[in-house]
Amino acid sequence: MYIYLPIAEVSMHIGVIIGLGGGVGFLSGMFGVGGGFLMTPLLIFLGVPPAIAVSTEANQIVASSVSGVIAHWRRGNVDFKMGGILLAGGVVGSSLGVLLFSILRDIGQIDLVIKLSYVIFLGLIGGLMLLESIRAILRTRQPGARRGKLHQHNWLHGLPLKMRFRKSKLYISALLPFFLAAMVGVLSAIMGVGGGFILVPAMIYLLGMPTYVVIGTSLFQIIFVTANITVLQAVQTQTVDFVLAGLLLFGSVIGAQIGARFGTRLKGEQLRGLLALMVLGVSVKLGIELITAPVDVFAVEFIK
Amino acid sequence: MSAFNLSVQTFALFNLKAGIRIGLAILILTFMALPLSASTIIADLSRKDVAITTDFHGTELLLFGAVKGEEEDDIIVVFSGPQTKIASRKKEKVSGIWVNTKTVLWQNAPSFYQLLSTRPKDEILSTALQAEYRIGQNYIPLQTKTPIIPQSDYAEWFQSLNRNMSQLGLWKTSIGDVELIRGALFRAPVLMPANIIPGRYEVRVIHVSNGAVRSEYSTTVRVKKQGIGAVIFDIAHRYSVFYGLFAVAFAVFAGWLAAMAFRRS
Repeated sequence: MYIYLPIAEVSMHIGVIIGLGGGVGFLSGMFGVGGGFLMTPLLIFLGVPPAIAVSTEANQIVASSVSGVIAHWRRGNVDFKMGGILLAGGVVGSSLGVLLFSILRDIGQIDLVIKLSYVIFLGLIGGLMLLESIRAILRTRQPGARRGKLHQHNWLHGLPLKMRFRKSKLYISALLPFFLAAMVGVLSAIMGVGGGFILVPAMIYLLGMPTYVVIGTSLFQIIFVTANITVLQAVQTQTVDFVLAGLLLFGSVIGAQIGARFGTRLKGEQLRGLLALMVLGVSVKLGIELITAPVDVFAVEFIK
Repeated sequence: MSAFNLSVQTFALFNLKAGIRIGLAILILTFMALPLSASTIIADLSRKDVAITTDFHGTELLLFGAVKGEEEDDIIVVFSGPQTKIASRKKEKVSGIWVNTKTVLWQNAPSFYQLLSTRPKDEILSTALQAEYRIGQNYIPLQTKTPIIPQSDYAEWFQSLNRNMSQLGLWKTSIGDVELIRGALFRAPVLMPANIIPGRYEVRVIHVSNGAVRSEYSTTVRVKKQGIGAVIFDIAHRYSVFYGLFAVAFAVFAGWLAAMAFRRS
């Protein structure tokens, strides 16, 4: 059964949309990631215009982050103070990102910037994750390896506006999480992702937050960043397809439950290694698209 | 005699739906009642309104009509959709990657253009007449936002537009898709893909005899969005703040519901 998506103005098979939601949901449940980095490129690949894909995916991530944050919140694993600073930065950054998105779209470079961002950031994060998990797998085979310090002190700790974050056991400058979240916010708006894949490692390695509060806190802030993107895109470009988001959501909710159960059968390092390969895969796929000659060097785009 | 012939053919040659058959009969009777009019052609469509509803996946219309002519005459149909702005972009390799480098903005390109004829148009009409009657993609009067420089590149840009639009199924030339029966009745199927845009579609039917245009008939088809999809589109554009907030509220509720539903498991 085909469904005509009212905002995207394309006709898609309903099974494809729910299946896509389910597939990406399965992987995100298994690896504990948002899945935006898979969903947005797949939607574009299926013929959804990039602007619609990015805005609609932001809408869907609001839902998946809400359902994700609830479990972490119950266990008390959300640092609301840190989350507040992060979301302030995230809202500023994503607003800038939405603006940048429409400028790039008008000059016909949005596809290029989306692909380049994916290649660079997924490539970087995927590469680091892969190295890390290989090292972790090797380390488990060599017992007796020494644990390092909780976190290292460097120049970043000398910045002004220091604040105490009890839950995160940190005393650092508020500027640091603010600018970090702002930068990730720009990328969220352009790439159609929650940004957890950058924020989570940055919170661990850059801010030095303890791992158990990182996921909950990042999910908490992603809700607000993606909600901000949804509303701004709805008002400025009318590109949020609520029907598409709803159907994707339906599939992903179910997929995520199955994926989560599946994920418990695998070891942490194995999971991270697989995730790294998947992230790298998307990066390489889009990288190849950028360097191979298109079938037709000319293309048309309808201007609204 | 000729009226009798036509009615026989109506039933014998058109295995159409009852409504269309009656429509055609009325059409022919009207046509017969105008014996001295200069017009030699009359046409109608199986539907004059196309609704883009939630289950819309493209549709096929049937154009049919009667003509006062000879067996070897020809019919040309030009079916064109509402004008729209289209950007043609050209990619070039810049330091290893393919980047959009040049853009041409077409100000008034038809969003849909289907040319149907009994035979290839060049065998039917001289190019001068094709130009005069604007028959064929080449004769669409296109405007660009800024002139194409150098002017010699125009042909390449136009061809790319024609090619890209054809690939999307929006611009098409179908030779032989108009079936002319005994120089008296004709029918032609018009395929409208799922990516058509709402608006007024103009249908021109041209009767050609011995290399000359005998007469032309035109009619319109209206394409509009309907149902729940149309309502959502309307709200998204007219009350966009409300729509955005509603989309967020819906997502929050759905996320919460999902968390509750799978809480125990």
